[in-house]
Amino acid sequence: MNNLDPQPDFVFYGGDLAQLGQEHELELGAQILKNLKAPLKIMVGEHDWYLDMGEKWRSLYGAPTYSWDHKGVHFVVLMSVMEKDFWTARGMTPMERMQTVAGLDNGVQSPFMVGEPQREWLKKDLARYPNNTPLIVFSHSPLYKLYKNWNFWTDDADEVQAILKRFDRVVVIHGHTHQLLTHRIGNIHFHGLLSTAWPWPYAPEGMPELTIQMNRPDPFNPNDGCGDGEVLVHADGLVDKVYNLWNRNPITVAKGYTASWGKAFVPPKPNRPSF
Amino acid sequence: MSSRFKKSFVVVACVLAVGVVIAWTWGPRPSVAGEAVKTEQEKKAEAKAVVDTHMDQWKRKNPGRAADWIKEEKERRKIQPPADNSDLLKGDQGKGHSYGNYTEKDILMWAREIEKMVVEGSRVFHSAELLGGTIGVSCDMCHPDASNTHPETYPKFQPQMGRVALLRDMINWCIEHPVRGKALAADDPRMRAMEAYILAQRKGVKLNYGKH
Repeated sequence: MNNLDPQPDFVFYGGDLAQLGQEHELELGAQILKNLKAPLKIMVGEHDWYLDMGEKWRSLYGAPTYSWDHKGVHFVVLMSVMEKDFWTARGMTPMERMQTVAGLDNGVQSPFMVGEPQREWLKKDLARYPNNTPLIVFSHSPLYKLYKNWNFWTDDADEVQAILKRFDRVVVIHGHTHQLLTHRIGNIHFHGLLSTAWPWPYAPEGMPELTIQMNRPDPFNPNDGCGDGEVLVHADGLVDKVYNLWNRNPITVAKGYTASWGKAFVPPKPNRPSF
Repeated sequence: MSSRFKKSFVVVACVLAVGVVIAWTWGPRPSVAGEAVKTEQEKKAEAKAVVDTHMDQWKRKNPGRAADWIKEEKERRKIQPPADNSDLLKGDQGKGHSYGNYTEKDILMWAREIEKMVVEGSRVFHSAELLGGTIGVSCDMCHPDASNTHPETYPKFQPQMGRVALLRDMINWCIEHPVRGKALAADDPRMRAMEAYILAQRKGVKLNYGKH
């Protein structure tokens, strides 16, 4: 990141700085991120939150929900990994709660959601922006319903999408899924983020039509399937999402691809597909 | 006495004698000479005491494991059920010879035993501690619900290992490398259980050994 020339406007961290939300994990992650030259914008993931319900996170980074304007684009960061309380009735310790949430396929946890208070906040935050404002929303959970078993899911996605519906173009950049994902619902263009830790397999069902999967990762290469990315924002607010896969050629999902509903600027098909 | 009378007398005497033997062996009688016959309640209390002793023993041998560990694990994970064997109880199957003459109890017992092993496999698969991992990584972190494990493609030649690998070899490779634990012996109960779980999750997929 520091060697990029020109430097990006900001570096965005998509969440899950820690694995089990422990203080030393979050502090180490924060220390590493301090080395960035460009300004840091950060988002919380479920792995950061559920040990102490965000206490350490807030002390490091403040409120998990916020927004700002930059070069005419309105950016919003949501805390979209809220969960209904599943731990009190079961008498779970904080670590048990954290480990439950940390398990992707652990069905005891609740589905992710944004929740009513945040939806109210979002309505108020967006109220003063006209419909043609370029709007980019960062969210950890995908803000649509992909695969419930792995919490590739936002339970109140329909309500959130309804709030975003009036804008001409909205881009959602989401984490959690650790893979190349592309989707479009009406005016909302969804792009996934790669993980720097490990890739997830694609869900057995619910794959959005627009998604052309990345090649399945090679287990014998510890970096394969991982990477970072770039978001190139055009004047109209749509983006080219660049997936910088480590050890592989980068893949660009250009604005024209989602804009044309997948007819133009089609990204390369995988030659090592998942099976 | 007439011979017919003698014959029927002998028959009746034999039947009576057999009846007494049967009643003596199987009928209710004092267990120890001089003791009263036990009530149903007493028998149940005795049986419960035996069961409780067994349970205490089990708990001591399995510290940290909940008594309802199967129910607990099944609550967390989606686990594929085994084949339905109830067809074996239908029709004339098994009649006329001892092998194949199954009962509902057999079907239930098989299902319970296989469930124990598959659920145990799921427990190990999802626990860095049980895997012997040293960095808190468990299999489900790359393979939620055992996805992307492709057990149907083994055996296959794995160039990175320099030999033909079975599923258990790949499991051990993962334990040594991303999980950073020690390889399990082929007949380690954890290895057997994990193989069972991985195969269970891939139920219905056609075998295709050698596929890369």
